[in-house]
Amino acid sequence: MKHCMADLLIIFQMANAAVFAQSEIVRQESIERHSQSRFCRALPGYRFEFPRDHFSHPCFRTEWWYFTGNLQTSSGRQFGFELTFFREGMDNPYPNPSRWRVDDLYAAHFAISEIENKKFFYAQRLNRAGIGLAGANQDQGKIWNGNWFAELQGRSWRLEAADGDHEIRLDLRPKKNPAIQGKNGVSQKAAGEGNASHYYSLTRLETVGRLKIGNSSYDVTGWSWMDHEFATNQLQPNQVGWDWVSLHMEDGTEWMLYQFRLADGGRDPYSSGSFVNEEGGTVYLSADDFQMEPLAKWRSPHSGADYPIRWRIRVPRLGLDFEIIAAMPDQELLAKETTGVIYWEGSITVRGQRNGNPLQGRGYLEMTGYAGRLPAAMVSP
Amino acid sequence: MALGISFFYRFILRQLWGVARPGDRLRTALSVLAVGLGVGVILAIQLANRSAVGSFQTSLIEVAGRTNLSILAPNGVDELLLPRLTEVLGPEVKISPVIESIAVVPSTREVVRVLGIDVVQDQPFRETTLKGAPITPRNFLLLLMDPHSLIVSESFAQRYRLQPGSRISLLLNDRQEDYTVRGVLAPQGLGKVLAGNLVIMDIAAAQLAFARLGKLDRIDLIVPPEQLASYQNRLARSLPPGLRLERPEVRTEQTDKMLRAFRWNLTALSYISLVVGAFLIYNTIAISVVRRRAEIGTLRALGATSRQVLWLFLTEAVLLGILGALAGIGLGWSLAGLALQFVSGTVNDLYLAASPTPIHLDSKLVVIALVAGGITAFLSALLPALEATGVLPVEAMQHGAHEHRRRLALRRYAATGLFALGLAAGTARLPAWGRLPLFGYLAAVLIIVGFSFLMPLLLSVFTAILDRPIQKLFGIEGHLAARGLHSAPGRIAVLTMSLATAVAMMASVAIMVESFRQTVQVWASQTLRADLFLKPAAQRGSMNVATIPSKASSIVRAASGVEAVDAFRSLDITYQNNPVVLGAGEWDTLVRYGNLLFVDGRTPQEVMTGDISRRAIVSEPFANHHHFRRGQTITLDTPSGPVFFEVAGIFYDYTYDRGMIVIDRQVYQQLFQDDTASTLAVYLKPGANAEEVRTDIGKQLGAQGYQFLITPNAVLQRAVLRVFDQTFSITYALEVIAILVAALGISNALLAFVIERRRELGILRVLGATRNQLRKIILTEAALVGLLGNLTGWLMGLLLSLILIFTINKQSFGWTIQFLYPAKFLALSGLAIFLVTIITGLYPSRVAGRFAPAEVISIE
Repeated sequence: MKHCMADLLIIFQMANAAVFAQSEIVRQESIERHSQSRFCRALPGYRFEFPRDHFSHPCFRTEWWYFTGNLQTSSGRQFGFELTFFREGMDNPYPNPSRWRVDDLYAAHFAISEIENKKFFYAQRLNRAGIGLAGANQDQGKIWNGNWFAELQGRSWRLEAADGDHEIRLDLRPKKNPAIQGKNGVSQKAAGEGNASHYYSLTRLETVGRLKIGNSSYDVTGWSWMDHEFATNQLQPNQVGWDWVSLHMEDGTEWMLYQFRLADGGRDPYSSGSFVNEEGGTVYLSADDFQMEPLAKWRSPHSGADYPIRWRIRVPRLGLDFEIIAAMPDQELLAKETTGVIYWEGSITVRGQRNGNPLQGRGYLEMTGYAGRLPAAMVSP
Repeated sequence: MALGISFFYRFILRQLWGVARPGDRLRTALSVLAVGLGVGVILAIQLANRSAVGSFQTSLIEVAGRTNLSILAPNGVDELLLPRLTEVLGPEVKISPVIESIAVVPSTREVVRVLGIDVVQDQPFRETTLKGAPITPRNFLLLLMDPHSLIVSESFAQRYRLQPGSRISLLLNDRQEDYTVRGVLAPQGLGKVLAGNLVIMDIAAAQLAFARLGKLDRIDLIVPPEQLASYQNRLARSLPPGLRLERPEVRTEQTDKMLRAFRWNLTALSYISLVVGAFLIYNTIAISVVRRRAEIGTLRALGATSRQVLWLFLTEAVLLGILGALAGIGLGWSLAGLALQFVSGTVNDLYLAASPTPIHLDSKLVVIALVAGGITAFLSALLPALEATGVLPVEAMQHGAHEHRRRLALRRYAATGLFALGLAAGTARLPAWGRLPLFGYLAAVLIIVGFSFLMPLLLSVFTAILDRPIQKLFGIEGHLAARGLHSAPGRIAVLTMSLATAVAMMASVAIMVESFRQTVQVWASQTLRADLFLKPAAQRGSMNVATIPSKASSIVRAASGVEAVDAFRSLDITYQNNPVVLGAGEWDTLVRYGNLLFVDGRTPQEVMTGDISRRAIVSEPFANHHHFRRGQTITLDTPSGPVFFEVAGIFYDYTYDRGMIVIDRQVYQQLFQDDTASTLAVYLKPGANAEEVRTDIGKQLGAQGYQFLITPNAVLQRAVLRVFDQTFSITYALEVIAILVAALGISNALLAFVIERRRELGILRVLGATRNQLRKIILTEAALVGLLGNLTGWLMGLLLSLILIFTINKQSFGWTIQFLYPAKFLALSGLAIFLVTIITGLYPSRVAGRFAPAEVISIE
């Protein structure tokens, strides 16, 4: 699972007047009526096929591509980055042959964490497809929004994004095959047929490239993670937020875990995760297989939300006992203008033991639903 | 200083306020009123000019927002240029597609500007803050998806009682469509332009609404300001042909250029009343000086310097001027609303759709008005005030010496006058100065100056000649009246001149307007030959924004009773940075059924047949403004690259003063890939019933959802004249005011004249003249002044009208007006003015009759 996508609950950018997306209405009206009939639902038995499935699935309402990674220079300077593309199907029932017609809205987020001096930068954009403004199609071999893009070159990905004086140009080479998340091609998010997504990850991407901040340019290397997920309905009204974590361990394995928090304070039984071994073999983890326990909180000066930035994670079945800590506290994105969500997404370090052997690594943590309710439109009816 | 003020009070203020003598208070009030009217009219025209177009120009700036460079083409830009631009320009350049057009609210016929932008992406360009709560996601999504959605301004919403969710009908091109309001703009940024007559649509909706799929009206760019020039060069080299790069400021300059001739001439006309007012100030001060020669002499004898005397009279004049200007500010403010109606009507009919903004008087205009009043008064008082300084102490006792000297100077004055007239004849022939007929205005001023200097001589001769016949007609009173005028030519000349000036202005403008009207009428009847004229319902005035699709044209062509259709497309383009109109008509249809009048007398058959693929005809204003002659080559920027055309002929046209270039429609379609039209001229088969065909076409078009205005020939001919008359209605209003000012002046001057001659008149009474006889003398004098003022005014008017028609109009607007003398109108108005002068003599004559002989004698 990943994230914070959502129905790109658009904000009218007019005048920066970000709107809080209370879009109960949206769904009750035409959009919802059509979406039920027009959009596909994520059902078991889906067979992934690459490179086709790297690109757009317009049949599903919501789709995102998440690239996150931890990088360092040869002198040991550390950075985290996030480059995310969202597509939200509009199911536009009105005929208009104009090329500017809106059938999908595309949002994108770009963030860089400078771990040493604890500086966090992020930018966001929203576009229609228009004439080549944004898209995610196989013909062009890339997913892009304006001049930010992720381009598939053979099996590798080329990422480029620049905003003001922040820039990344990275090459990501997968060391393992795509890890299909969930069971039988679907990642079930709630009870009921179709309340699920199709979800795969490129868990170990060897990353080389250049990162620029202001006048300084850094040659960097590191490990990145890519999540690609598409769905029509997934969340339920009682799912008030989630915590998602991805870990690159030094022993060549990866972990992905997410849990839904329920309105009554409980933990959703549809929380799940996966373990990827050195060879790329995947082990599905159900909600019962792992526990995530918050240890310390940080209060955001921007939104006032309290985010747990230290967690203890245990997967007794696989002998895992880790502690994760945010590499720096402030990695919060106020992305109301593009996706309608305020969330925390940032670089973390991990330390602990597996089967009694000490082990460490780095990763990314995402936390949503701590700064007020999630937009209602993100939630299935 | 305290002494100076007290001195000023006793000598000037008391006189002005009439503490000293009866009648002075009225005179002062009349002078102030005259200046007030003059200043008021100027102010009113300035205010109206600004409100009528100012809103349009500020709207251009607001609509451009932070754009600092635009790419545009007369017929739209292919939207596929956009991704190519993104490649050519770096990520530091922001790019935004724009559709801009107009729509008409059917219920009120109000024109609204429609701005189509990418509402998701346009934020860096324009300020589009919404009023109250931010737009709901639902409304935002609907704004994006539903092409019948729009955002309106707050004042528009109030006027039509709209709120998010309400519907409003709009006429766009040839269709009426229902739109749903998705949001209301706050009154700032785009929300406050054009008095709220602006609506915003998403770019996709706007393309559909105006049938411009695949096209953009322009592409707005924000480039790093410090590199503007280098981007301009880079783009100029890499853009496809037919596209133009423009900085937003240029758009306001273009409007300025388009309206410059109209505004300048209106402004010049508004100064007439002030010129008339200047004569009155001159008169007031001159009378004041003459009447108080004895006092001045005494002052000088008591040690006052000549400089002090000069200061006294100039201060008096400036005081009058400023008082007048103050009155004028109030007057101008209240007249401005009326003037605005006229000005705005004309601008909308002839130039562009711009709804006026409320009249706004700022401190700058107030200062200008005060300065105009003060300077006018100062300058017009300078001559008599200088004369006052020439009064020697010894002259205090010598009455009449002044007039004697003035009489001796008659010849020198007359020579100066003739010289000025000769100069006027010369300057009238000089070419325009940057398209403005500055030398024409100078010639007009020189004519007035010339006649002013000639007037004493004219008056002298006139009264000498009329002395006998008047004596025969009116007896001894007539003789006394004539002699009275004859003995004081200096003073009377000035007031006659003020009347003559007003009459001349009236006559010249009347001659010009009547000539023009006739010219247009003849032109319209000879060139508008089609039986029916069609234009899309959203077309207003001479705007050519709305278009007719070829499908609608085909329906009209196929209608029964239709012999031929001339589909005419007109586009606003720039030629060498000046706005002009490019027209494309069906030349073969025009040659067979229609008509054009060529300057050299050739027929359309001779000019417009044969190989016409690289031939253009240009309108007379175009040829005049751009100095084109038949046979020269004109280069047009087209989407197919620059194309050379031979100027095959120059035709008379009175629709666009900015000038028009016309090419054949087929050639146009090939070069511009555009098959729409702006108007259709329909020629009927012989025997077809125009009314039936009209109804039939209307029905057929209506069945397809098209809305057209179909105008029969006769109605169009009338409409042409109606627009014409409306355009000049303000001119008439200005003339009437000038005459009013002059009439005030005559009354004023006669009154002064009567007061001045109280000794003479008193003696006449003592010698046995009755009150009625005195009245008769004064009325006869008024009549004589009226007659001479009229005669001179007509002569001057004739000369001025020649300048107006052949210099000012030709240079400003570029068209030829056939000279025509509206004898009947002028005779009637002359008679009316003559009667008015006699009426103005009534009050002064009553004052004269009231003099008690004993009192008058005892003063002396």
